[in-house]
Amino acid sequence: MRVTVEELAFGYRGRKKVLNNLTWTVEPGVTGLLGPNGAGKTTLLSLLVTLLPVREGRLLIGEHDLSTMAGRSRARRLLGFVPQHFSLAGELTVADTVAYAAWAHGLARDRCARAARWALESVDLSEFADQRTSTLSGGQRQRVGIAAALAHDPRILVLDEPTAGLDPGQRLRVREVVAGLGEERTVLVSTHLIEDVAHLCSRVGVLVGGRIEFHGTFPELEALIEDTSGGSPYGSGFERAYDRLIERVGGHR
Amino acid sequence: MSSLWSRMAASAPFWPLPPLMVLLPACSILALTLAGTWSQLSWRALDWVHFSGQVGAQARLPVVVATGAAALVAARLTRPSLVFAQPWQPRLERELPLRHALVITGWCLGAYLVGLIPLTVAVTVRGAGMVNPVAILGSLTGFVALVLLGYLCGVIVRGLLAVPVAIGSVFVITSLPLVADPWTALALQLPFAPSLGMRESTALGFYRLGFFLLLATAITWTVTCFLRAPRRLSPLHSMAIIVVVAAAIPPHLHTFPLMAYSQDGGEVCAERGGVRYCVHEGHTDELAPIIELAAPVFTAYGPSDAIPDEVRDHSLATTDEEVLGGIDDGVLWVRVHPGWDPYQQIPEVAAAWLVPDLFVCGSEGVALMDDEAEPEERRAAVLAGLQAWLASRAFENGDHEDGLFAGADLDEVRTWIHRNEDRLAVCEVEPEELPWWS
Repeated sequence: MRVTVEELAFGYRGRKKVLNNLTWTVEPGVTGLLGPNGAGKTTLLSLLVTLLPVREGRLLIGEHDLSTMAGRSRARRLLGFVPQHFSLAGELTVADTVAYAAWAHGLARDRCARAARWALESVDLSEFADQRTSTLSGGQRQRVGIAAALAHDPRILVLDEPTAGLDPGQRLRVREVVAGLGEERTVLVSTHLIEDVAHLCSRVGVLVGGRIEFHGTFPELEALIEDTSGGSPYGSGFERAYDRLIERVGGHR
Repeated sequence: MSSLWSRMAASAPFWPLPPLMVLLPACSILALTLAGTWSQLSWRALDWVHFSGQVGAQARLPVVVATGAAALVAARLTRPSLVFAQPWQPRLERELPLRHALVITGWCLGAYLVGLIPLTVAVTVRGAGMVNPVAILGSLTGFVALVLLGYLCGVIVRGLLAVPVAIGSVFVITSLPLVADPWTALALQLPFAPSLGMRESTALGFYRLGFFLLLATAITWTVTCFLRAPRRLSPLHSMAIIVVVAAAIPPHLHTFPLMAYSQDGGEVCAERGGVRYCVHEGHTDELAPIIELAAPVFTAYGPSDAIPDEVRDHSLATTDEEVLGGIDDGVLWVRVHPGWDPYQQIPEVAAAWLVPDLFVCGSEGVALMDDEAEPEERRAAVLAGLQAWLASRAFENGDHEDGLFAGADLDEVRTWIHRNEDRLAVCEVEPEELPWWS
């Protein structure tokens, strides 16, 4: 399922616009969303998961227009979202948490337990199903979050900084899980880690100043960064190179 | 064990709440209700009017527990940071809070109603009068509305602080009728226990039912607005809040009468020693003990104008004036109510009817016989002693071995009373004048 953004604009009351005539299409597979702080990534994701209302421009989930109440209502059942910061109820088990999330997403009660088992299998957490969520590590909690967003089998999965705060081993595990999910659905990953994009994403969008200023494959992005910095996108010089990339894509407007 | 809990959690009666979050408050409410009503099972003179009032009165602590539980559920399980409580999720706006409210309210209210079953059975078997459905519905609707208020606290405060806030608020609301009558219209129970011959006023009953229905609806609406994405309070919703606040004002401008005389049911009467005894037909079983306990007191006093013409069950009263004019009409009104003890109350009220009030002595109601007692306190002690002696005549072995009338002969006292009746009425008799006192 495709996400289509057409001339989308959004500004918080009394402030200048955060998103400005943003046009973009997210195709099935894993797509990365890169951008500096304040570029509007969180606002774009909030509009996409209907936390904020679409007032100017269009945002379509498949054919469902998010500027209408009916469109929002239908689109919500097709969406899964893992925010950057989320919490789990410590008194619930992992399986109950995921089953509860499936129900909150609209699944019938009698299907939730099976859906939770499937989702936990998908993120390789089946063995922890009966554990309380308060006993999990950071990486396991992140995978529970993904399972919770996945249990109702959404067509579009939105992940906000899914590897932030994880150690390298946990990060690798989460990346494997997300990469697998992109084979059957549209996954949009907002991240500031170029390694995440490199390992996960078939396509990348770079958001600068409220617009998508770059959209292409990771090799194309890599080439742009190398061209900008004269070095590899990995390593200590990356942040400087990334800043120059932002300046450069900004200059292409 | 955890899979058992998971199976329970997945079952319709609990879903989607953790069973412990529901079972703990429900069991507490059941225990509180049983503890609150258990002693009533053996009460005399049970009736449906009293039971109808008890449905609200006994809810006072259970509703506090239920409110705390609802606040806990909302505070723990509707925080927008939770993976299963994000405002955009399809069920969060309406179905999830309604389901939460249904499960927690259902269990708590169910436990409360189960706790009332023994009392219901006892009243069904032995009780008289008619049930008051409006009063019961008003109390139960109030129960639901206050539980929803707790849930709203949890949704708004979104932390464990919501629990004490909700508990405190509801405890105050349920206690307000004890402070002032106008608050009774906004609470679950009357500030006193009604009984046969009376009924909760119709205006109060319907007002309370309507107010709690309005409150429950407004709270439900507010909860869905707070959980909705994007969160918004419409002008219509603001109007609804104003309507609820406005609806709470009328009782303060015009206090509803709390009770009315029901004037239903006939009377059952008997006569002994020239005194007519009448009780409500629902209190027929109480007539014999009333006569057995009152007649000896009147006999001990002896023939006199002071003896009432009639001892009458308060459940037969039709107006306040009728009761207040009882002294002038020679009618001794006796409150026969659920849980009353005729063996204590009848001798006391019969003797109190015959003996002047201690306040006529000017001793501020104090009756003393020690060395430092004032003269008026000593004279008051004569009246108090006489009243206690008369009350003791109600019992076969009512020998009065203590005080001023210890060892006094019945005939001797009766003669003495008639000789000194006028002086007793103005509290002029000194203890030293008592013939049997040394």
